[in-house]
Amino acid sequence: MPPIRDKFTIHSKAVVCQDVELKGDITIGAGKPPMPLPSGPIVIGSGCIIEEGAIIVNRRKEVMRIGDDNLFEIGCRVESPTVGNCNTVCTRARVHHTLRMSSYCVIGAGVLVVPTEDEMLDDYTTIYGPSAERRIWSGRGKVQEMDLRRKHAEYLREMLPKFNRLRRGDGT
Amino acid sequence: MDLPIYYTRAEYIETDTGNKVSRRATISGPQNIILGGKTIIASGAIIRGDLRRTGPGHAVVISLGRYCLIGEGCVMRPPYKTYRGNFNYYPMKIGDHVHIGANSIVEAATIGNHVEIGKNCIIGKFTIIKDCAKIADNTVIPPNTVVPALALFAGSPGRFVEDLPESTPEMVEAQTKQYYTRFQPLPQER
Amino acid sequence: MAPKIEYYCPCLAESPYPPPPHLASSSYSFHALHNLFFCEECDAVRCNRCVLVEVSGYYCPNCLFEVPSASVRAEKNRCARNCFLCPNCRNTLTVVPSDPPEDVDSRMSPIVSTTLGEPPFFLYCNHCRWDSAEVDITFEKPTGLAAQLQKFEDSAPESLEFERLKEHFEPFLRASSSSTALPSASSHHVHTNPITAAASSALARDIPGVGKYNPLSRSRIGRDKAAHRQEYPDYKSRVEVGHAAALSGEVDVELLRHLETVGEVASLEQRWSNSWVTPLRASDLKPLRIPLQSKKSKRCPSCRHILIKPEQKAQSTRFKIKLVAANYLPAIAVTLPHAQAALEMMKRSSAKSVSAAAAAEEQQTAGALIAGHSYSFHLAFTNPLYDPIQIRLAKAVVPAHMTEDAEAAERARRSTFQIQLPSAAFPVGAFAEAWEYDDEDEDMFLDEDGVELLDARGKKGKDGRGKSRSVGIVDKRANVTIVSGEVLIPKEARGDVKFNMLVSYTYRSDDPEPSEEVEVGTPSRSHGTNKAPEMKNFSFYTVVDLGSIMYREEPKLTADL
Repeated sequence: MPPIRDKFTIHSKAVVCQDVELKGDITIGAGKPPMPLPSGPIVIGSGCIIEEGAIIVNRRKEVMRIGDDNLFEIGCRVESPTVGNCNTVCTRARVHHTLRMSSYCVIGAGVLVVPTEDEMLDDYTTIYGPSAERRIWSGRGKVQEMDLRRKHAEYLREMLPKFNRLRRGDGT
Repeated sequence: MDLPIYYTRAEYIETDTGNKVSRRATISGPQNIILGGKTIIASGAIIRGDLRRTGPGHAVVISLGRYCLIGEGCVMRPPYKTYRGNFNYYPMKIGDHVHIGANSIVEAATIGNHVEIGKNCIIGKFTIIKDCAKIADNTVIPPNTVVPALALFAGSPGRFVEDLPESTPEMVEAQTKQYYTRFQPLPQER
Repeated sequence: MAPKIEYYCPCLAESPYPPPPHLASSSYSFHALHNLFFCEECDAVRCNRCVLVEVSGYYCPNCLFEVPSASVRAEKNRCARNCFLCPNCRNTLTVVPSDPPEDVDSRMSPIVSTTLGEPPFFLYCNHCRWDSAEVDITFEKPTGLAAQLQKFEDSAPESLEFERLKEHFEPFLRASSSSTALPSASSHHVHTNPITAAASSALARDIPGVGKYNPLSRSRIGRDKAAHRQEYPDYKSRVEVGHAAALSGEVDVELLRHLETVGEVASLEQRWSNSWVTPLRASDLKPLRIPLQSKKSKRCPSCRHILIKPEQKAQSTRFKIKLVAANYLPAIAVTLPHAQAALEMMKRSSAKSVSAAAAAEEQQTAGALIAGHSYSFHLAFTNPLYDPIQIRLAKAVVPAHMTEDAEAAERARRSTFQIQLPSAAFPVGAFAEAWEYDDEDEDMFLDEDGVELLDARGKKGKDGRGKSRSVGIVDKRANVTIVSGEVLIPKEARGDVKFNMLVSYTYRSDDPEPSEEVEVGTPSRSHGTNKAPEMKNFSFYTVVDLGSIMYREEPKLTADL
C-alpha cells in the first residue's frame, strides 16, 4: 500500500474534536466529528453526528461516501462503502464492508452485520437483536427523529467548543 | 481472604473523599460531575459531564454515589431528547454501591443503589434501573426500559430472567466495600 | 475455576445425610448461603425449593404501579395503564405522536418545532421499530390505552367462550367450594391470605370430566361430584368446536402454502406470553399488555412461620421480616493458598505489563490440583452473631447403604482423596458493627482474642516449620477465623475434589433470639454477663468443591509453597 497522504477538508461549520484521529483523504461537510482510518478517501456529508469511540473505515480504493444526517453512535464500527442519508448505526453495532446502506436504515445496538456477498440494504431496513434479524420500518416517526437529530447536532455545535479543544478546518 | 487488585500509584488520582480516578479516563466537564466518595473510575472510561442541560447557572450532569465502580472502557453519557420541541440533555443519577463492568455503555436516567451491571452491556437512553437490580454481561437494554427492583435482566433486548435473593442488598454492599479495600497501589510503591 | 462452598438444605431428603457430592443430581440440594433462609421456630435451614410462597402484592414491572389485588382479576393479570410488550421482540413499547403532515422534503426545511404531539398516537418499539399502526391500532389520545386495547381482547371469541364457561359453572363452583374447600383448606392452609386461598382452591377444584388426583379421598369426592353434576345442565358452546377448527385449519393451510420465509409465521416465543389463541402470521400479532409481577412472602414449610415478608411498596428492597441464613450461620469461604499465591505473583508482574495471554495460561495451570500431590486449603469462617461461637468440623458420615454398592465403592476407592480437617474446635469472634467500618486496621480491636491468635500462630510455627502445610488455625481477627485443611490426591485420582463437610457450632443462647435483627442489636449484647450462658449447638452440612484434579507429569510446577 502506498504511504497515506493526509489531506483533510473540513467545512467551516463542521465541529471536529481534537482527539479525533484522521488519516488519509477525508472531507467533512458541515456537521460533527469523525475518526476514520486509512485506505481510500472518505467523504462525510453534512449534519452527521459521530459519537465517541465510533470508527469509520474505508477498506476499498474508491471513495467512501457518507450522506447527510447520519448518526453513528458510541463505539460503532462502519466499513460500508456507501452510506445514504438519515441512517442510524446504534451503539456498538458493527457493519462490514460488504454492506451498503441506502437511507433511513437502522443497525441496532450491538448488532454485527457481515454479509458474505456485497449487499445493498433497502431504505428503512432495520437490523436488530442477537441474530441480526431484519424488518422493514414503516417510517412512521421519521420526521420527529430527524428533527431530534438536527437539534442534537445544533446543540453539539454550540456546546462542544465550550468544553473541548477543536480542530480547525481550512474552510471550503 | 480475597486478593488485592493492584494499580500503579502514578495512574490514579485519589481525592480527599477516597475517590480514585484513573488519569487514563476521559472526564469531560468535570465541574458538572459529582462523585460520592470511595468511587473508582478505571482507565479508559469516558464520562461526559460536558453534555449539560442548556440554561444559565451550574448544572449537575452525572452524579455517582459512594462505593461505585466505573469499569475499564465504560462510556457514561447523559441521555437526550426533545421535550415540547426543545432539545436537551438530561442528568444521570447513580446511587451507592453500583458496579459497572468493563466496556459497558450507559445512557440511563436513573440507577438506584446496589445495582450490578455486567461487562459489555449497553444501557439505552432514559433507562431506569431500580435498587438491587442486576444486568447480566452482554445485555442490551433498549431506551426507556424500566428494570424493577431485585430483578435480573439479560439478553437483547434485555428481559426479566429471575428474582434475585432477598439478601442481595447486604451482599452487594459487602462486595462493593470489599472491592474498594482490595483496590490498592502496588506494594512496592506503598 | 475458583473453589467454592455450598450449604445443604435437607428439605427434600428423608435421610439426615446429604447426598453424595459427586452425583450431578445432588446439586439441587446444595445452595449458596445467600439463597437460604433460617426458621427460628424449627431451628432449621430452609431453601427456595421448600418454602411456601404466597403473593403479597402485584405490580407492573414497567410503570411500577402497585395493582390492588381486587382489580388484578378484572384486568386479567396484566397492566391496565400504558404498558405494552412489542409483539415482535418483547421490548416495552412507547407511545408516540404522528409525524407532522409536511413530510415532503422536510430534510431541507428549517427545524420544525411542532413536536408537541399530534394525534393519532401509536405504539412504537425502539428496538425493532415495529409500530402498532402496522396492525391498524392507533389512539386519539396518549392515555388510557390499555382500556382501549382490552376491548379487543375481551371481544376475542376465546375470551367470550371462557367468560361463558365461567358463568355456566359459577353456581356449581359456589356449591362445590363450600363442600370440598373445607377439609383440604382447614388441614393444609391454616395461615393463608385470601389471595392464596382463592388461588389454591381454584387449582384444587374439580373440573367435571377430568379426574382429580387425590389418592386419599378420591372415591368419596368422585361420588360427591357425580351427585353435583346431575344438578347442572349441559354446557353449550358458542361455536361448534369441530366447525371452528375446520375453519381456521383451512386458512392455516392456505397460509402455509403461500409462505415465502419462515419469519412470516409467528415464532413460539412471540406467541408464548399471550393468553388467548394468537394469530399464526407474524404480521398479525398485536401488542400485549405487560403481565404483572408479584412480591412474594415466604413461610417455613413445617411450622408456617413467616421467613420473608416484603414491604408493601413495590420497589422497596426492604422487608418487614427477613430471616435469611446469612444472619445465623457462619459464612464460609474456601481458598487454595497455592493458587492464590500464584495469582498474586501474576498480578504483580502483570501490573508491569507482561503479555496477557501468557498470564492467562499461567493462571490456568498455577492453581490446578495435580494428582499425586497434596495441597492445603483455607476455610475462612465469618461469624454473623453478636456472640463468639465455637466451630467444630467433621467429614460427613457416608450412610451405610452408599458403600454397599460394589461398583460405587470401587469407584469411590479409586478416586478417594484424603481430606484432613482440624479436629479441635476453634473460636470465631463476635460480630460487631465496628468491624464493618474498619477498612484496614483490625488489629486495634483485638482484645482477649489476641492471646489465642498468638497461640495458634506459635503452634503453627512449631509443627509447620519449613512446610507451612498444617491443619489448624491460620489466622484470626475480628469475627473471621481462617483454618486450614489438607487434601491428599493419589496418583490415580480423577474427577473433582468435592466433599461433604459437617459444620457444628455452639453459640450462647441466653437470649431467646440470638440475632433476630442485626441492625437492631447492640454490640454490648455480646458482653452481657447477666447469667451463666446456656450453650446451644447447631450443625449443618456443606459441600466443599476445590476444583478438578489435573493429571500431568510435571512435578516442577507444583512444588509446595
